[in-house]
Amino acid sequence: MTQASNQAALHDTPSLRRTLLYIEDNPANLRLVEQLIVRRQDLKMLTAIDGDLGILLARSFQPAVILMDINLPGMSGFDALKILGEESATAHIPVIALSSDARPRQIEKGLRAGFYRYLTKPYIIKELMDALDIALNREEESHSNK
Amino acid sequence: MFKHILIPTDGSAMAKSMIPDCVAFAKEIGAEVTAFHVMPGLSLFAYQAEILVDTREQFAEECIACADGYLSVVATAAKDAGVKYDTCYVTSDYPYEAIIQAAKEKGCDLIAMASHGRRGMKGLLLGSETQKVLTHSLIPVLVYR
Repeated sequence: MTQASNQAALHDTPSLRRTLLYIEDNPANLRLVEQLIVRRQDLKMLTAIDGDLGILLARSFQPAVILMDINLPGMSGFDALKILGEESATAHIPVIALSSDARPRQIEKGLRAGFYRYLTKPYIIKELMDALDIALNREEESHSNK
Repeated sequence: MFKHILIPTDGSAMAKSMIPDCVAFAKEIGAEVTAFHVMPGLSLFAYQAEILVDTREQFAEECIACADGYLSVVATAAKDAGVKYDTCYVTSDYPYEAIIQAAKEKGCDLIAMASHGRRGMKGLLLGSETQKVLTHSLIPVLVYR
């Protein structure tokens, strides 16, 4: 199998279609989101601890939604979002930002940069679950329209 | 991109329930799987030394019998699906460390685990091995509900 056909096969792996890709290096946040996944029968969570690995996984596995820490080691969340947005294979995936910077200007900057939602600490569980629901519904609709 | 998936199992219903999905995923992407189980070390006080010796041997035998049973669930699923597989067990009091170490030693590029499902105060206090693997692993982790 060539690399191109291998990639194409990976792009449509049914068992990973409803996957949340979580790009995060903070243990406390990883624990919190794992707890939230327990409540979701329909979702699997794939983790990446930095932006480079996150982009690689997003390209290969086409998650339904990406949850991304802004303050990542190495490449920042903004840089990772830019790369994801520039690639046709990943541009359609909604990316929800998680950040400890709750300044209105920063939130505005995040939404302008293209984050689907920009959630700040302390995370409100309902807000996060609602954002996931909306993003997942959008993904499902776009999938059924294909 | 993933070539080798480590599937740790503790034999719980939660861990068992994710095995078919996980093996199907491995088949889709052409990866091999290694089923992995961590057995607890013996930890008890004995009234007499002979009792401890007997107990230790019996304990080890029972642990291995359990491990074989748990791992065979993955092995059977992989065999039926035509997925290349391997099984492995170790003894450790720190399962998450053993899991991460095994992933490194076996050259795994993904660890697939079940979410524990503990809620409330128990979840808050005890956490889970999945959480510990999540927060210590440099290798991507796929968490199944």
